[in-house]
Amino acid sequence: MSIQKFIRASMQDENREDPPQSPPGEAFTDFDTEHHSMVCAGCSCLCDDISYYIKDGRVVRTLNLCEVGWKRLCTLSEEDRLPPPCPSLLSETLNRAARLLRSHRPVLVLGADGLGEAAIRASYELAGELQGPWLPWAFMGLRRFYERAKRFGWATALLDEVRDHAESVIFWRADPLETHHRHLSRYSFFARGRFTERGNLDRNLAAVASEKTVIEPLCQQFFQLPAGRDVALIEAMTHFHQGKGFDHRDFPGFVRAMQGSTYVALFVDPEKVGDETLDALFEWSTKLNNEGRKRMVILPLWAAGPNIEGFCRVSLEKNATPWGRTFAEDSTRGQPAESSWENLAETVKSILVISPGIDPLHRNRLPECLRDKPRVVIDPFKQTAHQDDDVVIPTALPGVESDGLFFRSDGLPFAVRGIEAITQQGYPTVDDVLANIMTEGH
Amino acid sequence: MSRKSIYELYEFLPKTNCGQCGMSCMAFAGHLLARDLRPRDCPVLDEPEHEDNKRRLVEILGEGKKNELTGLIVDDHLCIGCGVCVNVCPVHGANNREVALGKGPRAGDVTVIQIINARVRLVHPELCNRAIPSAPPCKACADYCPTDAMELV
Amino acid sequence: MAVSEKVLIKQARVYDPSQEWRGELRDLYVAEGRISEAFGDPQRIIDAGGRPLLSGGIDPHCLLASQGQALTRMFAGSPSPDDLGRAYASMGYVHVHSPFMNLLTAGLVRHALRRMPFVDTSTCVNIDLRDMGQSIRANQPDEFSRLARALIRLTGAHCLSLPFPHLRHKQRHYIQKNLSAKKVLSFLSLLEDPEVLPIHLWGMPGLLDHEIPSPDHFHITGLGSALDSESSLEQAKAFLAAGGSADLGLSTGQEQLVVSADNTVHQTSFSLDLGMQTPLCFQYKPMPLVSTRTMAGWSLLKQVPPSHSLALGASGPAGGQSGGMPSILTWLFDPDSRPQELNEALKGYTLDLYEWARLTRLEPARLIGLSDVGHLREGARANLALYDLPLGADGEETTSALRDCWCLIKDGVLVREGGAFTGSEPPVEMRCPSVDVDVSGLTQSDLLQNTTLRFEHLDVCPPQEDQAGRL
Repeated sequence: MSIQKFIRASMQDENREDPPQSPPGEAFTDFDTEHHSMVCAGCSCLCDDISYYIKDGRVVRTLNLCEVGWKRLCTLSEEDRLPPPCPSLLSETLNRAARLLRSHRPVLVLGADGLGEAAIRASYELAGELQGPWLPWAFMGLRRFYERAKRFGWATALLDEVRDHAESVIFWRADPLETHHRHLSRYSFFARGRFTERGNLDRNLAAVASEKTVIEPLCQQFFQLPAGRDVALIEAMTHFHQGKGFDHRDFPGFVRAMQGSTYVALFVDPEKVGDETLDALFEWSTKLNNEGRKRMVILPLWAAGPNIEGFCRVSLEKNATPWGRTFAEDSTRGQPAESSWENLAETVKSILVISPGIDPLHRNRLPECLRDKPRVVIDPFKQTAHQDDDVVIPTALPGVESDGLFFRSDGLPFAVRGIEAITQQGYPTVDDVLANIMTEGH
Repeated sequence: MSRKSIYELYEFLPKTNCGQCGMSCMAFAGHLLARDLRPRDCPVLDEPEHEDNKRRLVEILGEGKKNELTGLIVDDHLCIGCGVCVNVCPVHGANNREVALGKGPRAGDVTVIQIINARVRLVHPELCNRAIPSAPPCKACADYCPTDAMELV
Repeated sequence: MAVSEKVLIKQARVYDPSQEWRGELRDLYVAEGRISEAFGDPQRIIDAGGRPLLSGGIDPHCLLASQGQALTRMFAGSPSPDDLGRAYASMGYVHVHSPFMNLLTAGLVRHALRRMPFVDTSTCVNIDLRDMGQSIRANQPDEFSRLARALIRLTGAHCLSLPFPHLRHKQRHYIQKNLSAKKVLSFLSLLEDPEVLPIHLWGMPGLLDHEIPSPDHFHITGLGSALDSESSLEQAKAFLAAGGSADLGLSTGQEQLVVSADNTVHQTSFSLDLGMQTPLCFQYKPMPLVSTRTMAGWSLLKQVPPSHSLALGASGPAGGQSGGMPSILTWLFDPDSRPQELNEALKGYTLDLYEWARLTRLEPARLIGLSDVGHLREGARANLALYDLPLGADGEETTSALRDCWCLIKDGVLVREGGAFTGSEPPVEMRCPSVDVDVSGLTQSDLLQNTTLRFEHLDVCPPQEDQAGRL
């Protein structure tokens, strides 16, 4: 392989941040407090092995935290925050927000998948009051994925089982090294499991993507395919024993790896694959499982809020569907939510955006068709996009400055505790804002 | 994993063998690779027509300092704190059960490398297999680093 | 949350097998959430008017919460925790026991169970032979007991369960780590630790083909699923006669949630790897009224004498919502209301209210290990259910009366009155025993190391958590 150094977008950005500075000398031990075995809510990996070291109310050192989690922490500094509102200012801001939302119904409540469970529930109640859609950032993919799970049946697993059993790991248009940095080392590829005691040496890694991605150098097979070729590959894999081939140098190796595996874990980003591809993946999984010789599980890997799983659970409990809902005057419980951003733009009059904060995955996430709507934004951070927002409500960062119950991508719950030393900054929690926003302005 | 090779560094050098640095361009490329010298040590690269090449060499080589005991160089701009290196280190695999199972080391654990402030750091280089002169050269961490943030020279 | 009142229930026909009360007219007194001795100043008087009164119902086997459970809401609109709690309370139930949890999923299960209103809950935790099997191979009962206690303590479970009494590794290199059912059951029969006994074996097809030494060490939960052959009925009777205990769910032929050890994937099913021997398939499907398994279940109920430890389950979430249990009870009470298919199996058998109280109150409480519920002795929790079951009621009236109890008091709080909810919410809790074990000495064990979580995060019931399981 040539020396193709991977150029990340941040390196080409003139305003890219400098890498985090190491504390002076590795022997730096001058901390006010240390917090060990903390849970990071930066993504749905929910790593529970993080240590934080606090000095003067700031996190000055972390252990085991990846860049995604680090960015959440190092942007807690004053420069990146909106100032904490005093009670009267907060009341006035909530007042303005309430008046805007009341006068522009129905309101889209968007992005609760970055919050703790209690706040997700509060957002649901609020959406009911505002008579509009209640959706996570990845609502389209969510709906498409679970509709297929229902239609085809779904084989899935806890991440522990993937770690213990998976002999073939496939990332289908999902790159954990972009969205869930520690996924490979903690769960899916490098971790040694009960029956994969040599870790990655006992596994085959394959990936499908449109362009070379971060994970590419690690893969035994890498299929760089344009959109639309996925189904052909899946069909070839499903029917290779009938002589069906696929014109790619890695195809024979992929076939051999699959033939030698008794357990296959396929991670897919449903937002990045088409309907036909999702259908084909589920059919492939069903076929393999029902043949009885191997097990294939499909797990979604969302580039969405860290608590997308918690959102699904609350939605399931309330609506019997995991992808949110629309509260409309003539809707009945469980009526499916809108299916595209364009549909939403036609039906909603304003938006309540719950921003997950400074995260390259979510920058400029609101699509063009919704940007001209009046907007109330709940955000822990200061962002340039806020200059176009009508009302901005600064809050504590969930999972760092306030507690929350988050769910790992396989559904296991974690109580994420705020870090005590930095929770006294005067920011209201998102839970409180959501619970009180409509009680103001009467 | 990709490896920087002497030939690819050589491509960005003047290739005039002027000797101002005291050696040939190929030898200079070798010293660049070993991090004994930096691009700034070639006077010819300062000339305007070589500005792009110098920038590319700086980019390729990164700014990390070499650890003399292990030969490890970490490019902080590329490291994303994924923890793969910690996980694949054979020293960790043999001595730290939690790390072998995919969990990160604890604060009191004695490990070769750790992810500190989202970047990999050598904590106990003396424990690295590469610090043992008679041991076969281990390259696991750099081999599996997905972003080429680690280099062993 | 409502507070308990001082209540007098007058003139109820009380059925309590623990005191051999067989429907005599009695007054009962409730104070501070407990059955109390008589007092003169009740805050509330309920005139039962001769209605039957039983202790609050206890379901010994209900799949309440797991990774797959929530997802099944997508398929058949299966009940939410709120719906379930309400449905159980309507039927006069106050406690539901879920057999389905392991060390890793304990947090998820407890989180889901805490959301159920009106009923207390408890769980079993699965023995993981992968991580605890070494003590069986090495014949170390003390070590096994220690690990088992740690499992109960960490998860807040009430007892241990064993879904598959064997271990079969498919991978070539791990064949030597297999454990046969014979070895496992023999080992477990030698345990003497009262904190870990009895062990709840899941009723799976083929279970009764294994020899189960010391049946009194075991309880079979969901016995119906194990009655898969002609001989299994006799085997089940022998097991119960030898001192074993079991709970049995019966089917009304309606669609219900079925969880099976099944690797196949079907439309509208979930197949989940949850750390057990095989994946589990969650699927809604009709359980036929007439099949080898279901007929054996009905026959067993008829043939097992009252002296044997058999409890009746409420048929799970479907039973809770779709009226499975009320219909079943109606068929058992009244031969004229039975479907014809059941006439042969239940010929000559009629359930009376005393036996109903035993099967659905006393026995479940005893089998789960709850000493303060399931009966109406003084000092017991004030969990009382009154039913509007007039004499001579026909099948429909009986079913309706059983589905919507006339009055329900839970922990001294009036939850239902006159056949409707009062709006009061009683306190609810996850019941878990206090187990004496030092978990800190086990942090390097396979049990606590092999998960993806750090061992300190496996403890979902830390000592400072209150009994109600609140974080």
